[in-house]
Amino acid sequence: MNNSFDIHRFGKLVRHDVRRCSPRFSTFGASLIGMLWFVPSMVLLEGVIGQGYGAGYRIMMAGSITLLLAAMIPIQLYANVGRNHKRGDIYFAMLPASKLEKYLSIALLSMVIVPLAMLTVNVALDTLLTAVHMPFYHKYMWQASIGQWISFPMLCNCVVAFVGPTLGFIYANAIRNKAWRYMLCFLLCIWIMASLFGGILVFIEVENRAILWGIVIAQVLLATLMGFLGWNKMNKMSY
Amino acid sequence: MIEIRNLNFSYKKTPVFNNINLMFPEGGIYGLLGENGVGKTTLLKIICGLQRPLSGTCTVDGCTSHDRLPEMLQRIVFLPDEVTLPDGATPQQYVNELAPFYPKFSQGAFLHLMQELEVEPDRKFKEMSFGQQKKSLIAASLSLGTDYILLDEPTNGLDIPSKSQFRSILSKIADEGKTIIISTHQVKDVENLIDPIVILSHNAVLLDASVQKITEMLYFEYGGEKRDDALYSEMLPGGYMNVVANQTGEESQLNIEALFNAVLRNKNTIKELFK
Repeated sequence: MNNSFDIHRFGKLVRHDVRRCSPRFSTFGASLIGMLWFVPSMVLLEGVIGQGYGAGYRIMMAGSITLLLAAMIPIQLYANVGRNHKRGDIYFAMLPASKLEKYLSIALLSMVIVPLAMLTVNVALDTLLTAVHMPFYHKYMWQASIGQWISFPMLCNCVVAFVGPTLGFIYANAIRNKAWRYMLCFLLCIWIMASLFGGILVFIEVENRAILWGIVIAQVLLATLMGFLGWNKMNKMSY
Repeated sequence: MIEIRNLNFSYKKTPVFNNINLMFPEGGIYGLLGENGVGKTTLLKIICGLQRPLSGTCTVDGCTSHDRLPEMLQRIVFLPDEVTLPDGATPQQYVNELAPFYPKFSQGAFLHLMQELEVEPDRKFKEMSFGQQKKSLIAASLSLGTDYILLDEPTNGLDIPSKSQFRSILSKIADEGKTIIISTHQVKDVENLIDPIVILSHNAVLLDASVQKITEMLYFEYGGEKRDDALYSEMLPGGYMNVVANQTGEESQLNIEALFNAVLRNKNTIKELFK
């Protein structure tokens, strides 16, 4: 038996984690409500300022919602994995899979499966709403993304703006000291917002790719650090 | 076999184990007894790899337990006193999630155990009483087919009929060659079931002996006068029960509560007797 990594066992673990997380997809619901909530609010805004609800705003809002909520997945799903000493959620720790498989499963679920699912729902909902009320929405969100937003440095910025904090949340989740845990989560939320809006502003307003690449490189370094800390914590964790 | 060698463990500056050695050969129902806070649960956590010893080793069939290798985790199940249950799940869903990881899991055994313990497998955990939840978890843990079963206060919350069902289930499982370690304060619930008996004291193992060895070394006398040479005496209806050193080799009925008290009050004498 391969005690480090076995692809069949890893597959079983990912399926297990997806099944286990599906009842907790409250974040999914929150994302949908967030999108739906914008519709009446923007109708009000249209009434007040006489403007439609542009695709650019929707991309920013949908992207922020997706990133923020998906980054919270490690806390939602693996809340007691490492920090509950007395009433330990030993279930996950005792599952017959290696520590590496468990870490990768958390990362895969948090960084790929859930965000993709949430993004799909957001885009589908936007497409539906735009089809129904095109004059107000101007353009489909995906159409606008492809037309204006997708550029390689911007894409890299979005990816690391998500990957880094998510790895950080996995690490934060395993910290027993409450004050430090909350502080780190707060900093990670600031990181997400700052890197997203900062990146977009640099790219759109300043139009300076060098600065954007600088931001991306700094974020990659931070993400690597978070990944290392998270893995180290998970590897040495006691309950 | 579970083997603990020269194990030291402490919670920050509070020492729990100081150089202890223990062996749990395969087969049998081991009783782990001790006062509150002596480290019974900690010892179970060390065995299944949830706690890392400061020094020394704990191995399960040759695997260092703290490595928590899949090979080892497949062979061991730990049922703690308090468990965080999945929201809105039923016992059947709970075992369905676990089953793919345990090659020896038996759905038939699970349903049979649930039936014996009189719990419905498709009823949600949150609709169950604490005792029913406990019984469901016992059934789930025992049906996984692991070679080592660690139970922490398993009879907490069980009603009287369930306790006897639990004892009969464990006896059957022990007959299949499984190794069961039970940590409990409720010694009456597991009397006549656990053998050997391990008694922990602060930082050390006070007693680790089979029931046969215990009754060879100690004599449990019922209904007589209080004896001056008794290691422990207790007044019962109809006279005193005395625990004395067995000088004659005569057999007697073990009383675990009395044994426990005798051991705690005469640590050095007991160590000498069982050396």
